[in-house]
Parts: sequence; C-alpha cells; structure tokens
Amino acid sequence: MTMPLRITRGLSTRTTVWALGLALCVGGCAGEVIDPPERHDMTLEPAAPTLVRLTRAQYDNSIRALLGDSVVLPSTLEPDAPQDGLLALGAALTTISPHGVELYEKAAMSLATQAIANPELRATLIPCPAAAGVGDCLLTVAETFGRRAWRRPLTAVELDRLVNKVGVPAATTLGTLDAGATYIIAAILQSTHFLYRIELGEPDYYHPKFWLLNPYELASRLSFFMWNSTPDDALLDAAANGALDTPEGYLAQVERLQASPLARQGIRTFFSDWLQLYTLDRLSKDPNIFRHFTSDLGAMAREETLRLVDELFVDGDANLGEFFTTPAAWVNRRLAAIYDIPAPAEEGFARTVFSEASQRRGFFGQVSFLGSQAHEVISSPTLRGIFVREFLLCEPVPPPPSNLNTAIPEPSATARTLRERLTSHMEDPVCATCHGFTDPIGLGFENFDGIGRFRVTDHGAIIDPSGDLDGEVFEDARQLGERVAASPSLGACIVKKLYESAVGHGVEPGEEAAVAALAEAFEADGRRFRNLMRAVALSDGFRRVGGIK
Amino acid sequence: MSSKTHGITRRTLLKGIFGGAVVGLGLPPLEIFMNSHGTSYAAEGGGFSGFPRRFGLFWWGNGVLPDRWAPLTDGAGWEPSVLLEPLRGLRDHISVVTGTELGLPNSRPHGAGEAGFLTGRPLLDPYGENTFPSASLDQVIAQAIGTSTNYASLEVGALPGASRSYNGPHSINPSETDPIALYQRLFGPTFTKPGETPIIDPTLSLRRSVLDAVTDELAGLKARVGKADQARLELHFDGMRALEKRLAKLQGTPPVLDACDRPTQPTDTYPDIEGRAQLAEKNRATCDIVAMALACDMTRVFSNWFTGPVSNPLFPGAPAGHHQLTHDEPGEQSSVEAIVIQIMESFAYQVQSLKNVEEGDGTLLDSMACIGTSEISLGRTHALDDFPLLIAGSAGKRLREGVHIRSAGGELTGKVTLSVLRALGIEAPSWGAEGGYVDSGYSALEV
Repeated sequence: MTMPLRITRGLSTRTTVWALGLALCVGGCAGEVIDPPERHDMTLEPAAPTLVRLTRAQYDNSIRALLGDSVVLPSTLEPDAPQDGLLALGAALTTISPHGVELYEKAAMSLATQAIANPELRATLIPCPAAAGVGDCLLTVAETFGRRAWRRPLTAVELDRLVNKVGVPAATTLGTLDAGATYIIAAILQSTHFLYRIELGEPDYYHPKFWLLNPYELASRLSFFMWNSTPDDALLDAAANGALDTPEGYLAQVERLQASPLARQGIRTFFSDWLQLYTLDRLSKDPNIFRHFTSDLGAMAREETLRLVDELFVDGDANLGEFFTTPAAWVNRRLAAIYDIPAPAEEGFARTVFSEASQRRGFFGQVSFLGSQAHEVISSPTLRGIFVREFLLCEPVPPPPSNLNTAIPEPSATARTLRERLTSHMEDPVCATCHGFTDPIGLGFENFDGIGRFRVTDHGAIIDPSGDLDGEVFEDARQLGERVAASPSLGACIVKKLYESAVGHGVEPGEEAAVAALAEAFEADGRRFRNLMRAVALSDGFRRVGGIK
Repeated sequence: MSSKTHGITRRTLLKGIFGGAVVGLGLPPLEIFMNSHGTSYAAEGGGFSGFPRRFGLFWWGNGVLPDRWAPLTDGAGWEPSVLLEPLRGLRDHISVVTGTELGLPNSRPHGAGEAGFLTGRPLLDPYGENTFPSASLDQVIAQAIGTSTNYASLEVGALPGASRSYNGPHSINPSETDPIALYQRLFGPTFTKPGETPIIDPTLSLRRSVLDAVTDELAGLKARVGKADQARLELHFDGMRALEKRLAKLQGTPPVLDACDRPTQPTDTYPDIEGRAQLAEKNRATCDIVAMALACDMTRVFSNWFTGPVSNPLFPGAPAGHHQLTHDEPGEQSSVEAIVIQIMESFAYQVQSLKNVEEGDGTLLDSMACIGTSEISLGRTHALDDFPLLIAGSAGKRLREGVHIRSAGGELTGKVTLSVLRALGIEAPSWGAEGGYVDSGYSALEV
C-alpha cells in the first residue's frame, strides 16, 4: 500500500491522495496514486461548511461513548428543531439559546462529577502514575479526554488553557487532583468543540479551489453519519496515521463502521428523521374516541417501525420498496390489539405476518404513519397525503392560500364519509390545485381511522379507498403502498434526504448532478439502503466542502 | 446587586437595532430610585415611576372569533363580550385595542401573523421556511431593559414547543413548560432571598473560570467560520457571558426588595388527564413563579407561550384539538368559543398573578406592560385584520389602562407595539418594515 505524501498537518500544505474514481474502484483498488488533476468531480460545487450542532441523540450517544453506561444523562437539554422535516438539517441552523447554555453547563458539571466519582471510570480518565505531578497529570487528562471528546488532538494553546486556567485553579482551590480533572472534563464537555461538529475543511494542496475535510473532520462526519455517535479510538487513529488519506484506508474504515453493531443506531437515526418518528413522543389522541390510546403509544409505534427497519435494512439487505409492501411486522400486545391480530405470547415485540386478505402492509399499515398523520379525533386524508408527497416523494406541497374558509361540513345524510364531505376540496378550483395533489393519496388510507384501526365504514357508509397516484390506479391502501414503492420519486427522495443528513445542508444546485448520479446508482443496485449509505460516504460531496462564506 | 455595587451613573445609552437605527434607551435604574426597603422614592411622592418597567407577553395560538371578541362598549369600564367575560374583574387594568391590522402580506397561514406581530415584518422567506427575519418583540425588549438582571428574559409556557421567542432567524428560545423545573432554575439551591446571607461556594468561581476558558475557545472558532455561523456563535457567547454574570451575582448580596420572597415550590407534575394537557393548572403554577421572579428583579421580561400557533391541544370539554376545530367546526363554532373563553381565563390568571404581588404602594402590575395576543384573528380563515390585542398594566402610568379603544379603520397593530416600547423607556424611532412599518405610536393608548 502506498502511503500518501504527507508534508505537515498545517493549513493548505496537507497532501492527500483522492481518486475521482474512488466509488468505481470500491472493493478492489490498490492505493495507486492518481494524477492530481483527476482527483475531483469537477462539476461538483459543494456548499460552504456550517457548524453542525450535536443533536440530543448525538450528545447522549457521545457521552455514552466517552463515559460509559454508568453516568446519568441530562434529562433536559434544548430540544432539536427540524428543517425540511430533518433534525439533521435543523442542527446546522439552530442556535444555543442562553437557557440552552445554562443547561449544557449544568449537564457538563454533573457528568464530570459523576465520572470522577466512579473509581473505574476515574482510572481511565486520570491515567497518571501515582508519582506524576498535578500539572503533568492534568495535562494528560486534558490530552486524552480532549482528543476523544473534541474528535481531534488538542493544540498546545488549548491544552494550556484547560490545564492552567481551569484544572490547576480547581485542584488548588478544592485541594484535590480529582477536582482539577473534574473541571477540565466539564470544560471540555461544554466547549463549542464538543457541542458543534466542526467540519470546515482545508484547501486541497493540488487544487486550492477545492476544499477537503481534514482527516479528523472526515472521521467525525463519517462516524456521526454511520453511528450517530462520536468516532472511536480506532477511527481517530486512522485519521492520525494517515490511513484516512488513502482511498483504501478510508474504505476500510467505512466498511468497519458499517459492520459494527453501532451501525444499527445510525440507520435507525436516519429513518427516524426521514419518517419524523421523533414527533411520536407527542402523539395525542382523544382517548374517549380512541380507547387504545395512552401516552406511551407513540414510543411503542416508533419502536415498531424501527424493528421493521432493523429487519429490512440492518439485519437484511432489502429493496427500499419492501418497507411499504411487506406483510411482516413487529408488534407488542398493545399494537396487536389495535391491529386486531393475536397478541404475542410474551411481553415485548414479536414478529408477525399479516394475512393475505389484510390491507396492512409495511410502514403504511403502522400507527407511526396512520396515527401521526391524523387529527386527535379523526383521520386526515390531507395530512396523510401531504406526508407522502412532501416527505416520502420529496414533492413540495404549497401552503394553503390565506383567508380561505376551511370548514369541513358536518357529516350529513348525503355526505357521510370524509371523501364525500371533502368534495369541495376537489370541486373548488382554488382548493383543488393542492388538494388534488394530496387528498387522492390520503383518501386511499381511509380504511384506517385516526389511530390506525381498520374499518370498512365511516358514519355508516362504505368507504371507497380507491384512487390513483399520478395516473397509476389503486384499489385500496395495499395497492397504494405498491404504487408508492414503485414510484421513481421515492428512490430519488431517500437519496436526497440521506445525502442531506450526511452533509448537514440541503442539496445545493452545484450538488444536484452528483445526487442524481447517486440516485441512479441506487435504482440500478435494486435500491439497497446499506449500499446507498456506503455510496454516500464514498461520494465526493461527503468529503468536500465549499470555501467559507 | 446592591445600590453600592452599581454606580449612580447607570443611565446608560444602550445600543439596539430598530430598522437599522441606533436607539437611545433611557433606563430608570432600580437602585437609583429605591430606598433600602424597596419602596420607591418616587412612589413615596405618589407615583410608580421608580420601579423598573417590565414587559410580559401572553401568547395563545389560533386566534379568536372576532365577531364575539370586541367589548360591547368603548373607553373605560368596557362591557365584556362573551369571549372577554373572564376579564370582567380585571378590566380596569386591561386595555383592549380592536380593529387594527398587521398590514403585511398573509403569505403563510399562521406563520405570517407570528412574524408579523412579533417583528413587524414578513417572514424571512415569506413563502418558504417558517422562520423570523429578526428578533421577536420580547427579545428586542430584553436586549434593552433586561441587561442588568440575572436573566435577560424568561420563556415559559403551558404547551411544549409553542415558543416563538426568536433571537434571530432559526434561533428560538424554547419555553420551559415544567413548573418544577422552572422553580428549580430560579428558586433552587442557589437562590438567596433578601436578608439571607449569600452562599459562600468556591465552586462558583471555578465554574466561572470554566466559562472563561470556553469563551476564549469560542472566540478562536468564530474567526474561522462563515457569517451565519458567526452569528450563531455570537448568541452562544452571549449565553455564556450571561451565565458567568449570573454566577458572579450569586456570590454577591441579593437586592433589598420587600416584595421578593421564595414562592411555594410546585410539586405537581401535571400529567395529561385522559389525553388532555392540564394547561390552566400548569399556567397558574408558572404565572406565580414568574411573578416572584419579577418581584425579586431576577428578570424584567417574560413571555408565556400558553399555547402556540397551529397548536392542537384538546381543551377540557372540546370535541377535537383547538387548531382542527378552528377549521373544521361548522356554523357558529361554539367549541372554539368555549376554548377562547378558557384561554381568557388563563390570561386573567396571568394578570391576576401580577396584581397579587404588592410592590411599594401598588402591585407588580403597575410597572408592567403585559400584552396578550395570538398570530391571527379568525382561525378559520387565518385573517390578519381586526387583530386581537390586550394590554394589561400601565408600564408605570405611561399607558392608558383599562380602556377599550376601537381603531377608526385599519390602523397598524405595530403602532400599539411602538407605544408599548416607548412606554417601557425604549426610544425606538420605528417598528417593523415594509407594510408593517410604523414610526408613530398609537396615541389613543398613550397617556
């Protein structure tokens, strides 16, 4: 294996060897040096970098990775805020409010205190020989913990600051080495270098016009993408020893991360974000109408969806379409009652397969979708239709015009079902522009009520779930799921969303061609999600950033 | 924060941005005007001007029913409409302004009204993402009158996720909706009530040194990032500075304020009952804590996001969620009416909680301007005219209290906002932009 030329780690002098054709030589290339001019996809114009704030889950996962399972995680930190439905995009836009700063400070002090009070953890966090001087020892603490938490080695200035402005004064004032270590760890955990992912890039040595993530930044982006957590020592070592600078060294890490048990966490995170499963914590139904509802139902529904994700995309390697067509499901007793199927023999989740006659297939048969995209007291064809259009097919639905009378007529003798009551959506041209785009989809799910129970009638009238998706007719929800699964928009949409989650910004015009190429490869590959993740990680756009604006 | 630690020269000119103009701010500093018992010198002369002026915002989502909203009579002693009936006992302290409009394009249902009232401007991207173009009213005020207190502002609420308190685009201050957590934050172990010995805790200095170090790091990072990120880090920096200042104050002597006392610690966690959030109950606990935070001069600005735009809670007795009912309920919308009445009951409690705290010769309410409003007028159509607007308190006899003022025709809501800003001592030359731009106040409301 050819080691890359490495001059220094300094700005703009770093030399890396990246092949434009990296994705093409997946699995096979030796580390041949490609002529510098061919190192980049010349058409790609990546967005300028932004600071990506750790999401709540990334914060928790990072703390677990750094301090283990014994510490109690903070119960309140500022909530995440989605952008275009994705928390991953919101993280690149939102700020830390004054109250948020207060919560991070409190959490950092609490975590550091807990960690040092735990003898086992203390030994790993203060790895100093007994004879070491306090100053030397605190320097070791700052170096070792700092590297893991900030995902890169600390500079001399940073170490000096932590040791002499924080650690030594604390050790002196409180009279113990442990106090010094505690305050250093607390400082590291409330620093911007921990709370934000700093992936700013450096100009490429050969092409100052192109900016590349440095190896530590790349390690961080890769780890949060694959694991939704902080890099481990092996990945940081690969950044340190130059392995990430070579195509095959980087590929080896991509494959290692993908094979790790932590990959489940990364895949679940993406699906949770894409399908907005994070909103399920606030699932609310009128229990007088939906007697199956309790406040913990949302969390169960999310787990149900994620178990299916596990089966298809973590433990299996299914075509994405199966997520909307499979008769398989994972249910617990409560969900089984809603779905009107035999309850699992034991507590917890068990696999089941819906009958040939059942309308319930994949995600569209789950409370996660049917209950979320509905009102407190009734179903909502409009909400369900908007969700499918905007978030699954990436086809934006404009907001309703203002100053419209939006009242839905009460059920009457002539208009009992929602389809009948919503005819104005389709007959009034002002409404039909958008509702013609959303409602026919949503009405296809009308055999499921506002929590997701199957029904044949609404207010005594037989429900007609038939319709068409962009001209492809369907008889019922099951066929609608097949139409969505077959829609070319679906594949392009998940590719876009995954790419955006990975790089932390919406696809820019200069990236559209590259994302379209990923989508094409995804289709050609039989829409296998894990290969898509790998292709995104190996794409040029993943490793490059635009210049700072 | 004794009068000794702050000099008498605190009448400072603070900089703030109003439509790009530099604003002069005449602050009546608390310490200057008060004697050691917290009654104001001015109050002894018969006025209330000596207490700090304070601002509150009480927000609910999804508007009202304008045809049942306006009081039946004009001027003082207004006769409550069916929706305002819960305010009858407090009407001498609450002014109702009806008939104004935002003057901005209704580009996005709810969103245009949120930004329209709270910034006077259109959304950052009127047809795109729902984010504000600039700081919201509460934060504009906090930047001006909140700089000397422990907390520049407090964001609280009854329904999670309702806050529209913005520091700038994409920068929300989430509201605290757990009264126990709110109490702990303000009146937990670190709180020292007047007369008590301040805590001696060496860790406070150490925590400050941590913040100092972290602030240095932030400054280094800021130099390397793009403009948008610089603004984000700036806010982060402000938060760290504010926390450091707060830790410093905990080491000092608390201000002498007769009205200040440790409130009762809430114990109820207010779980949902049959799928219905206990909004009114939570609001009462929250309002009582906030009132005491004002009395202890821990803050001078709060926003209470009782519910939020488009929020859809099941109110007691309602057959469906609030937002859904505004759109789906046909006819006279009696369920929506019942919900608005419940919201007004909670607003009444907000006002009452301020009136409950005696301060000098009056109550906290006398020093307040507490605005109650929503993001739209009629929920069903998302209308932005005939905007619902309640103003409790007189900001130290600078606003007319307890009157119903009916706008002659389509005056801008922003005029009222500008009057409130000026009543708070903020010399803002203007408010808002484009169709929402105003450079004169609402004279009928001004004393």
